[in-house]
Amino acid sequence: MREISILHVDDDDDIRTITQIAFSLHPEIELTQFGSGEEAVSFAATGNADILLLDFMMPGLDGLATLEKLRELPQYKNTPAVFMTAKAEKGMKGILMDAGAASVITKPFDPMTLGDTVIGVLKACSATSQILELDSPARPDSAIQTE
Amino acid sequence: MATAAVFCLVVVVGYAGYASIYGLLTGESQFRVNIQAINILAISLMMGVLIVALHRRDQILEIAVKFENLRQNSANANQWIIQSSAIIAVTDTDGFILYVNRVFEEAFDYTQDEVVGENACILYEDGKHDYQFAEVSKTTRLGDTWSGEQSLRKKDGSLILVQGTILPIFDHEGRHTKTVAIRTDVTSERTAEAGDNMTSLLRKLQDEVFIFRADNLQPKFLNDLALHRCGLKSLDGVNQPIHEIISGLDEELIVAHTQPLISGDQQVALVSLTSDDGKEYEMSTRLHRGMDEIPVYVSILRDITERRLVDEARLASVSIVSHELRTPLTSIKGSLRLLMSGVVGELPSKARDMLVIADRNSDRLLTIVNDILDYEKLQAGKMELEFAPVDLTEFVLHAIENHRGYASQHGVELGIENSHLNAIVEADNDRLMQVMSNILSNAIKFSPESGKVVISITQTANHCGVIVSDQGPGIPDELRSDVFANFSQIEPADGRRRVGTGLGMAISRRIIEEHGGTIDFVSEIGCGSDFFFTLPLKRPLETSAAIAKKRVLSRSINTQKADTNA
Repeated sequence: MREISILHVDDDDDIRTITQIAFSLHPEIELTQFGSGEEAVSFAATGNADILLLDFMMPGLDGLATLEKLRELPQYKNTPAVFMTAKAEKGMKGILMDAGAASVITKPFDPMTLGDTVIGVLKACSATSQILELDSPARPDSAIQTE
Repeated sequence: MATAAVFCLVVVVGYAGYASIYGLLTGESQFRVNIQAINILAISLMMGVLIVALHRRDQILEIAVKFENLRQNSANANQWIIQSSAIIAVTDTDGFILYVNRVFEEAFDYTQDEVVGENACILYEDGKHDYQFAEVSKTTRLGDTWSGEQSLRKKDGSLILVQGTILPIFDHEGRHTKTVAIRTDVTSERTAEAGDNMTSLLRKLQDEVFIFRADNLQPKFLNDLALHRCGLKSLDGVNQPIHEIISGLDEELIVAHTQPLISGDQQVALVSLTSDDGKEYEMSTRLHRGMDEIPVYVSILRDITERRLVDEARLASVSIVSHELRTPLTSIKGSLRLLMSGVVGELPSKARDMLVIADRNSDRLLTIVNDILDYEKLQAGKMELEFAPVDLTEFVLHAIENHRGYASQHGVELGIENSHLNAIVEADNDRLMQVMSNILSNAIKFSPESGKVVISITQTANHCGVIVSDQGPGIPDELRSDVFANFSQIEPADGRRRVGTGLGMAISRRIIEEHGGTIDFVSEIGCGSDFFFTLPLKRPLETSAAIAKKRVLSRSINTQKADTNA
C-alpha cells in the first residue's frame, strides 16, 4: 500500500535511477520523478506529494527556483522539501535551510539509507506541524528545520 | 740617460725605504741612520740594479716601482704610528702579533700584553678567519698591500667594522719580515648608513608600516604610505595612540589584535580589514623587544584585494570542479552500494571482492575531492568556523565510535585515557572531528595488527589537548617537516606506504591554527608516534577575525578620534 508520495527532481538520469531503486526498497513510497524543474512544476499543478526531493544545481529552474514555483501552488505551500546537493559547503546548507528546506542531503548519498532519511524528515515535519497547530493554530507557515 | 736616472731614483728610494723601515720597526721618532748600512745598501743596490739594468731593463722599472711603493707605504705607516689616531698592529709573517698601539687597545678592548704573541685570527669572526686571513696573508706575501673593509671581533665577541690597509714590510734584502695593519673604526658610520638605508627603504615600502609603543600605543614611526593614510606629513606633535590616528580602528580591536603577542601565544598577529572603498587589507603585527628600549609593535598593513580576488576565483573554480566530480561519484558510489547490498541480486564472492575495491577507491576519490576543496577554502580564508562548546571526552568517544569499524578491519584496538577530565573547549565540532579523523585513521593504518591506539585527553590552566598514541613504525626525523606539508606522503620507517591524499595533515594543521591551537607529534623509530593537538579553553581573540573583517578602514583620515562604529 502506497502511503507516502515523493516528488523527486534531478537532471541526472543515473542519479534518478539509483534513487528509484533506493526508494523501491520501501513499498510504502510512491515515487514520481522529473528531469527538470520546469517539468515538475507543470505536473505539480495537477498532482500532489507528501514530500519534495529536489536537486539543487539544475539547468533552467534550479532547486530553489523550483521550490519557489511549487510554493505558489496551494497544495505545496507546506510540503516539506529536502534538497540534494553536491555542493558540500557548510554555507550552502545554511542558504538552503534559510530558503525553507526541511533537510539537506549531501551527494554522494547512501542509497541504502536514503528512504529512511526522507521518511524520518517527513515524520519529524508532521510531528512539528501538529505541535505548532496545537500551540498556535493561526501561526503562519514557516520552514521546519530538522537538522 | 734613462738608466742613469733610474739609478739615482733607486738609490734615493732605497735610502728612504731603509730609513722608513728602520724607524717603523724601532718605533723611534727620530731615525738614527747607520751610515755604513746606508753605504752598503746603496752600493749593493747600485751594483745589483746596474747588472740587472744591463740585462733586463724592464725589470728595473718594476723594482723601482716596488721601492717607491715601499717608501710610500712605510712613510705613511710611520706617520700613522706617530699620530696614533689609527688602529695599528704589527705581526710577523705568520700573523702572530708583535705590537699594537693604544688605539688598538681601546678599539678591541685588549691590552698589549693580552694580544702580543696571539695570532691575528682572534680578531676575525668565527668561520670567516680562515679565508679572510688567508686572503690578507696571500696578498702581503706577494709584496702587495691589502685594502678593504673588515668585520672584526672585539675581546667581548662583539663586532666592529674597520677600514683597513695591511702592508708587508721587507728587510734590506727584500724579504718579507713583518706585516703592518692600519685600520680605522667605521662601525658608527656604517651603522648610521645602514640605519639610514633601512629607514629609507621602510619609508618607500609599498606596504604601510606602523611602529608604535607597546605600553601606550603611541606611534614611533610611520612610513610614507602610513602617514598618507593618517593624513599626516610627519609624526611631529602626534601623541595620540595608534587607533586614534587610523580611522576605523579602535582600542578594543588593537588590544584584541596584540594580546596574543604579549601572552606569547603567537609570534605574528593577523587581522583582516576592509576599507570603505571595498579594498581588503591584512594587518600583520609583531612585537619587537629591542635592547634598552620600550617594546614596540611593528604592523604592516597590506592591500590584499587582488590576492583575495585571485583566491576567490580559484576557489570558485575548485568548487565547480568539486561539484562536477561529486555528481558522477554519486552514481558510482550509489551503484556500488546497491550492488554490494544484494538488493539487485546476489553476486559471486569474487565479484563482491571487486566491488569492495571499487567502493574503497571511490571513497578515496571523494576524500581527495573534499580535501582539495577544503585546502582551497583555507587558502582563500573562506573556511568559516562555527564555534560552540565541545566536551573533549564526548568528542573523543564519538571519534572512537566512528572509527571502530576501520580499526577492526586493521585488527587494531582503540582506547581512551583520562576520560574523567571535564575538558571543554570552544571549537567547530565538525572541523575538529575532521582533524581527529585524519590523525586517528593514520594511527590505525600505520599500526601493526593487534596493535593498540590510545587517545588521551590533557588539560592545563589555559589549554586542553588530545594525544593519539600508536605503536606504528615511527617517522624518521628527516621526514618530520614533510608530515604537515601540502601534498606530501611520507614513507614510514617500515617502508610501507599507505594511501592518502597528502593533504589531510596540512588541512588539519590549518584548522587547528584557525582555532588558535597547535598540532605536532613526537615519534621514535620502532616505538610509534604520538600526534597531539592543543586548543585554548576560550575561543582565541585572533580567531574572532570574522568580526574584525567587518571593520571598515577609512581612507579619509584625520587625527581626530575615529568613529569606532565604522
